[in-house]
Amino acid sequence: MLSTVLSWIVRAILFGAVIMYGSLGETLTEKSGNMNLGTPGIMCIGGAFGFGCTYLYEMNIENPNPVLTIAIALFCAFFFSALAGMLFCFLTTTLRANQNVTGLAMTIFGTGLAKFFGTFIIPEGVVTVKATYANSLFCKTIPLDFGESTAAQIAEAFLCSHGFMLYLAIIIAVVMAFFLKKTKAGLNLRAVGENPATADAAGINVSKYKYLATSIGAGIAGLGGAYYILDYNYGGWSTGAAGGLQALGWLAVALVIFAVWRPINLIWGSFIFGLCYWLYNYIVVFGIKMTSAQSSLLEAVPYLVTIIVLIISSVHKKKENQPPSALGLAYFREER
Amino acid sequence: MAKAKKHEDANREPFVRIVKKGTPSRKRSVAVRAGSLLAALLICSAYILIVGKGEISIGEALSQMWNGTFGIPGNERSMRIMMWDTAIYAAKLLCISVALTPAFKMKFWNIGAEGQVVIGGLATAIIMHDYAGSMSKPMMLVVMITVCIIAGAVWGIIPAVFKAYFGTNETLFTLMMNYVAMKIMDYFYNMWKGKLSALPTFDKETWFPSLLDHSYTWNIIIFVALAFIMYFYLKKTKHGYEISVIGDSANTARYAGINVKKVIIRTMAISGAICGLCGGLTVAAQNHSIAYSAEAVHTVTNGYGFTAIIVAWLANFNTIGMIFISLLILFLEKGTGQLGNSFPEFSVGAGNVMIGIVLFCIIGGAFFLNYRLVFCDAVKNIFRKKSAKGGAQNA
Amino acid sequence: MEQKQKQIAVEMRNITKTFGSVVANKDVDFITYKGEILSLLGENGSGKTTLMNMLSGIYFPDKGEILIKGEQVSIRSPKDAFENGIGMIHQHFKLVDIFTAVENVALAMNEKGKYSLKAVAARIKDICDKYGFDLDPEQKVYNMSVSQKQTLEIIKVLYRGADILILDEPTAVLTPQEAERLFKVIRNMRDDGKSIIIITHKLNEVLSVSDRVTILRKGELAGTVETKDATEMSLTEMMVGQKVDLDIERSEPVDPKPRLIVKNLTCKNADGISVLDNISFTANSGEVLGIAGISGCGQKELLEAIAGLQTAAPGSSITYYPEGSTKAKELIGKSPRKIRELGVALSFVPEDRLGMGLVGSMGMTENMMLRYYKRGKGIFADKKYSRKLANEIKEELEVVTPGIDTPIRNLSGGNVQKVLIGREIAATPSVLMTAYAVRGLDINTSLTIYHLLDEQKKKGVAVIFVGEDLDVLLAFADKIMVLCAGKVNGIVDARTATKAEIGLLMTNMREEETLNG
Repeated sequence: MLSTVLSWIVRAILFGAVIMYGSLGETLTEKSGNMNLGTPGIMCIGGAFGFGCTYLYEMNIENPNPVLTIAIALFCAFFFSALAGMLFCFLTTTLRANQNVTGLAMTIFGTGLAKFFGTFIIPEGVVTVKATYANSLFCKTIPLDFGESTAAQIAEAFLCSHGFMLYLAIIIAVVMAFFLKKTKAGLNLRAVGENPATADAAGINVSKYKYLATSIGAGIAGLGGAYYILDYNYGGWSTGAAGGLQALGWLAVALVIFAVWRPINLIWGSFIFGLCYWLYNYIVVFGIKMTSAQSSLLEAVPYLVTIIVLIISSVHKKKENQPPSALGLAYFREER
Repeated sequence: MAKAKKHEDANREPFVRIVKKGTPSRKRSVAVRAGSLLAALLICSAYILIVGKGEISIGEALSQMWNGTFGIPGNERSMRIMMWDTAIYAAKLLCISVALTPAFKMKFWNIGAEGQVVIGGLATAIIMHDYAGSMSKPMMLVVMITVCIIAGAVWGIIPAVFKAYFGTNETLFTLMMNYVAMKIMDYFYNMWKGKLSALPTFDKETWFPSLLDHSYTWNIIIFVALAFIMYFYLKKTKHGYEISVIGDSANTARYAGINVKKVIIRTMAISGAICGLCGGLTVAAQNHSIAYSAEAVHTVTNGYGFTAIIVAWLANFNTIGMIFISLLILFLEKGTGQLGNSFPEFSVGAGNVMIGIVLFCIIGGAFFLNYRLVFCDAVKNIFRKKSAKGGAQNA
Repeated sequence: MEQKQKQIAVEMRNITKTFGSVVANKDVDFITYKGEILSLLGENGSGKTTLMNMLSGIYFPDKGEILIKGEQVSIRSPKDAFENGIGMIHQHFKLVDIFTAVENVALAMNEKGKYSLKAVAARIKDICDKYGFDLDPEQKVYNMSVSQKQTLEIIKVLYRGADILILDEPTAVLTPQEAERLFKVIRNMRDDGKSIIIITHKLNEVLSVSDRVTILRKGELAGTVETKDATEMSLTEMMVGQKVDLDIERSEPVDPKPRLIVKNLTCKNADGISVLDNISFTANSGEVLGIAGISGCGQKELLEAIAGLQTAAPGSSITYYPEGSTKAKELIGKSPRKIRELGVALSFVPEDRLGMGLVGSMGMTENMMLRYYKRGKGIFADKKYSRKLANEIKEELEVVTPGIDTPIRNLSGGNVQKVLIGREIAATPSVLMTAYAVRGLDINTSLTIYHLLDEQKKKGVAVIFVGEDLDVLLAFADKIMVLCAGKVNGIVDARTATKAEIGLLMTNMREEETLNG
């Protein structure tokens, strides 16, 4: 019983951490007023390139260096995703294209690119390739033993049964919250997303902020992609993995709403999403027996919860819990 | 001269400025669209050359794409198979795009077509699965059609009600509704499938009647007819007029005595109903089954719920223009599929990359419809000098 | 004032700016000195704001040069403007609603050292003390009154160390008391050596607060004068060019009868604050009822309530008496459509022409359809009648448009208003409501519009005319109702009332006196 709950917690945290990257990136992007529905595609790009580069590295080197392996994976995932984010921003900010349409096109493009890039890696006739060494690094947990008592085991499940990427995600969330709330640049960024005309009149370079936020946001989302492949998916890449990653990307978009655009809320929000997502597998802990069919319905819970949050925040109309006012709108100064 | 120079330095103009234009002329729209497609063709060509390492010529690639969409020229059998296949998928994409149009015209960003199609398809599937043989065939068909329309409409109305009364963000709401619908379909799929490896097709008695040797001929006819009906609905009817007014300014609509809430809900009901119909007909006449949402093939929507958003937008909400855009997308989709079959370099995903490139080019190109670049005098002077030189040479 | 060395703060030479085919400014020269208050005077649409927007970096001039303290500069963005010590307070405030005052001030600041909102708040307090402002730095903007927002805007500019301040129509939204307080602060700033430019079209303000006046007319410089040498008459002449006959037609009311009786009308906004408080009045047929008041005192809500666009609180009543009938009709609680179906011939020319009265992306025909698309049975919208009407209006009111299907967004402001008024008059109303019917229009178009309204009055229509220019109200209306903060402060006879009397009613003073007394 306890072991089931523990494994549920561990799974939920891992799953939540992956979508947390997507949500962190999307939160930063949306704070600049850009709604990037290309996040699922961008996470795929991050996954494919992060995996691909590190895979090529460990395949071609006799004794791969652990630091370098991780660095290559993270850098490539970040860099190529950020490029995709930049393309999105070019189309929507500089060329003022519709954000929904551009985002969806980006999702088509991104998943395509990921699958396509994967075929470069996968030898003919093989379905899955594995980056075993990188996987072992990403899965490495903190070797601490708190003891045998229930409390100790729960603490262990929460605190040290995870790879370093979880801690990195939490650090990013805290840093981002600090950045948005306590720094000059964060204040300016929020102003850009709330009221670009005001930000512009105040002398803020609106386009620069949008480009930076969208690119870095995409890069962070891309890290989640690499994390998904190298840890959650046991280091294996297949065309199916890209599909899974895309589905997860939409959950990341949902989580941003659930967390009412606050990075700190993402930390517990992602855990709740993870618990919901894995609920079907562990519902026995509540003494409920379920068929696999019924468990499909449970998978809808995160989306339903998001809808409820969306409704509640719009009914309450509390100003602080609304999406950035200029979300989804293109800004053009010499409007007349 | 020296003074003029100094003046120029001090009055540094920005290198290039963006100026908004009025409504673009027809000539300009055509030119911009053609230019976008040309740019897309150039980039795709480069892509093909790079991926094919120069061993695949552009002409060859294009002809493969043509064959994959419209069949091998001269080979009647191949042409028949390919064209029918292209027709039904293009019609389906067209139908969903048409369904989205009234909502988009009203500036209601319904990106929940995927879910509305799925729920419609599921409703029909439930009738086909559970009530096969319990009523006469005509009755059966009527019920099948009715339930999918109602299911789709309900799925559209839910976010519309919240938008109308509380201003809930419809983009995010409809997006979430997609997944709820998919998971509900997964539930029925798994339940019906039980321990089987795959869900068998439904009882033949419940299938839509076939026409011209194809079970889905009626779908094509209905979907294309809807495009024309929608065109007139939006252009000529009172409802269509109300939608246009709300799309421009909800305040003006209120002033004119239009019940904005009612129109939002009604329009989303129509939007959802057509999506639902598309799903229902697809299940009844084409797939005769439903599929697990994570599966890539034989799903009810084929992912077109999202693609249709792009189609509707690219066609500038002209439902007749969407016929051509749908065909273009199908050409890219099926053509690149064929390309992958012929050349292993283009196997998985390469098609989507090319679709992405074309979409980006068209989306980006639309900029030149509404805006124009004004270069500063210095740049203009360079051009002027050049053209003056050219003129002198010509003389 | 003692003679002192005048230092040039800003000089603009030969400035030209065009938008498409519209010339907003043509060869304008402009000078401001250090330590003075300069009024930039001109009619609506004379290019005042455009000229100043080129100083503040919003627009870039097509031609001409700008010198700050004698140095030629290029101002390409608001940031450049700040660096040159120029700060502009726009008519539409540029504030982020969900930020606090401090956060708004700290926006885009590039101060050295640690980022600290506390330090910013402290400096704001210094500025407040120095010039006599009153502001809570921690207040969120969405909780602020208009005057507080304006104060915040000024502080924002001062915080950046601006010594050239441009205020665009600063008193348009203020009560006279608030305006007086603002002028006091402005004088303090002047004495501190700052240059203040006030964009305005109100003559009394110009005369009371400024040192010099620069006048623009139709985008061109009409001249600059010392305020002490100017009179209202001389300024008006410069503003409008030739001496115009401001004689507005006002026919005598014939057989006025109550047409619309409003009793105890109360409306609350979304936050539960009363925007209309217990309003009662009668609009007679064949009369023009003028409505005066500082903008935002419930004028918009009043007209909307009558048109069925506002929800009224219980106890309110709006009764309509049709011509030649004693059967009264209650309008409260009815939608615009219901009101029309009752046979109430109500026409409404709203303040926001393209955002409420018309559809900018549609042509004249389709805009006529806004009233008539429901004609006829069946599902198809009727276009024939509207096309005929559009052609008639184009002919009769001389609307300048390439065609009746050209999107009216592309027409000039005057022509847009002609389309709107034309449509509303063509509906043969028995009650005609207009809000700021001549705002932004040139004098000739304005006179045409007064004439059209007077014609309606002669036909026995009850005209309700919300205006901002008291002179016009006094010359054109028969009765004037003065609104103040959603309440009726008085109804006077326009033929005998004076401007001072109405001005007093527009403020809260009278009411406060009675309350205290």
